[in-house]
Amino acid sequence: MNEHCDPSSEKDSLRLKIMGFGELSLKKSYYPELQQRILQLEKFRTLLDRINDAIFVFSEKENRIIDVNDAACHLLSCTSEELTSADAAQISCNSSYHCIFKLFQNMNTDSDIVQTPLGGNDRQFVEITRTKATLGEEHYIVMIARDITERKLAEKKLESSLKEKVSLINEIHHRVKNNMQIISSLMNLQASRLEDPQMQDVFQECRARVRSMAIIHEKLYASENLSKIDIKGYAASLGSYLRGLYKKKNINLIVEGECVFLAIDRAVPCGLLLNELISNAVKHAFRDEKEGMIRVELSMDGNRASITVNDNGSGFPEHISFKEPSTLGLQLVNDLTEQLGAIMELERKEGTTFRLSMPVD
Amino acid sequence: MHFPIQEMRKFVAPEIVFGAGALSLTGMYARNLGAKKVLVVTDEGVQRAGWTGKAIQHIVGEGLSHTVFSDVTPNPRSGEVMSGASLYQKERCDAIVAVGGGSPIDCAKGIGTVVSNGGNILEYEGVDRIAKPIPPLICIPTTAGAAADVSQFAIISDTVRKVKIALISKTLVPDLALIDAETTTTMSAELTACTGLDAMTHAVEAFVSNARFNLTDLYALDSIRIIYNNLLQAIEEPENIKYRTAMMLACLEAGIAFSNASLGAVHAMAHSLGGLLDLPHGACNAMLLEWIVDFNYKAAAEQYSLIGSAIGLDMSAGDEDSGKKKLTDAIHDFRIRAGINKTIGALGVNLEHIRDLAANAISDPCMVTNPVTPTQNDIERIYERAL
Repeated sequence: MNEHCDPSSEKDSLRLKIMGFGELSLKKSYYPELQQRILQLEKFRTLLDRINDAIFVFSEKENRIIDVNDAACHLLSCTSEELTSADAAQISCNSSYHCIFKLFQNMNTDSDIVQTPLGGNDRQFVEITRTKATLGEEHYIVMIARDITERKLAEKKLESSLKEKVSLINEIHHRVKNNMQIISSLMNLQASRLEDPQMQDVFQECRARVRSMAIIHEKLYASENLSKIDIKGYAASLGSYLRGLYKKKNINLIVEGECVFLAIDRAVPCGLLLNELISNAVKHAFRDEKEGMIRVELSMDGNRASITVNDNGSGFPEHISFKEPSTLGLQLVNDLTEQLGAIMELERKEGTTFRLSMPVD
Repeated sequence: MHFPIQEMRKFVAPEIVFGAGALSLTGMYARNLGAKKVLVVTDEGVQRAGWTGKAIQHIVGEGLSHTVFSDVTPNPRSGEVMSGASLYQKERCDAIVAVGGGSPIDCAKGIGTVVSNGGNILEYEGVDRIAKPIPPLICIPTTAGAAADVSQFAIISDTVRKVKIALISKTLVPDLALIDAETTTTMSAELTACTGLDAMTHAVEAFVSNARFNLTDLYALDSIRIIYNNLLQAIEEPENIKYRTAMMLACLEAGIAFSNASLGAVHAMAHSLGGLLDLPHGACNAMLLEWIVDFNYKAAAEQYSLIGSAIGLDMSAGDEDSGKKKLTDAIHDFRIRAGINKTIGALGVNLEHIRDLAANAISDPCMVTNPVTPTQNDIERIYERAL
């Protein structure tokens, strides 16, 4: 026999391995692998037991729950043996158990999410994810139940607090509008004592400006959305108010086109601006009870809105410069246009047309 | 007899059922090993002979499902192993039944290695490289030669490098061998001769291996005796179950011997021939054996002399050289009488191949247990003589 003397040689170590003395050279055994897998399963099981969601596994064939985690036991106040026993339905007096069990039996889809009170009272709510699963040839339903009682309570609180805030905001808008109306009425009383028609006119202009702001608040509390108002509806209300204020029944007012929604911080300057343009037309375009028409047209193009105020009256006087005005009204028009980041054009053809183009946020 | 061994030895064998009707236990054992869906690995020849169908019948009879993988050529290729492994995974099999000669069984071992350990089969070339046990493997041999059904070896052809790689690991010893000699009655005379001489080579190499010990010697020597007294008869009377059973038993014994004692230069050189030129394994062994015995004789004279006596030669008279001549002549005559009368030169090997052939043979793991360590030059000379 040829003895190998140098044990460190590669050939010798190969020979030892061939004879079965290598590190891996055990006779085939699944046991180490099995132990490793069992350890993995135990780790996994521990994880499942540590989580707060309740997990149930239901066997369709056996028509019973076959496995649960700790959270499931806690949720239903039962032991895992009670929950997984074949006659759990009979011995369990717990209505929560029956509620969960029913959810297994009434499942028609492959997976879904349902919210339900547990055990026939509204004190405890769960959100349940149900999934059908096939392992080998067996069909199961895996159900993960999350206790959402706290969440439901928080949602309710949030909802009622929101309602409270909405009515509070409505109330504020209402009061602001009312106060503005009172200011307007006070001005009216004050004006009625004046004899100078020019001074009366100044007061009327002031009233119109206050009122144009009051209408904004009126529209806001009447709207569903408390943050934005529709300028089209606003223009119609404002127009009819101004026609009445200046007693111009001979003027026909038309508001048409698309709805343009503006947030309150832009709606107020826009409202004031419209007030000046419409007031101007109502007051000056049609002298001597002449029949006339004022048309307000709104349209949207992407994130820009354009508002046109047109009248078929006597035309904007040539001697008045629109860009360098001498009146407060036109001064306001220019200032508000700038504040809105808008562009204003004036067309003096067959009456007067103001074209406003502004960005909408 | 003296007991020279102080070094450790190990002996591993699968569970073995030997005898008429063993094949009918396939289904029962598959179920007992936990199978639900069996991958049946076989080849077309065995399928045609009907043995695969019989095994499947018993698998189905136990209520198990199965998928057949029969895309296996002689000298199974790495690509075939990988396709088999994909099929196993795709069909979600959980056990393997191999029906056939060495090729389907080696392929099945390769498939098992890949499905348990991942990667490519070529990554597991060498000794003791397979970490995870392969799925349950039942082997039903249909030749009396390879003995892959009891061994820790799998030989796979790397068609890119044109070499045969050896996978040697105790995890490759199958769980169960169901050995039924009836399955060998459909072998042709040529296949009977090649596989029988393959078994003879296993026994001779195991008996002179430097990893041999008494347990392997018992099997090896008995195997040599049985083959010498039954192979020619089995070729002569292929349907005679008596000779077929004897050959099946001898093959099993040789398999147990070489799985534990490993092999030697004949196999190292035959693997090299099979890899480079895709030559039939059994025939290569048969054509090389007498030349290696001649080369090795001095290093294991006592063992060779026992082989000579076992086959009825008078080894007591004369010196070592005369003993060597008697044995090599007898081995040569035996293969000629079995019908393997060509040389490797006639199979297409020429002088140009010899350098590469010898280089591959030197690095084959089987060479490690040859009783003497040959040089590259030694191996080249042996190939030349065998041409």
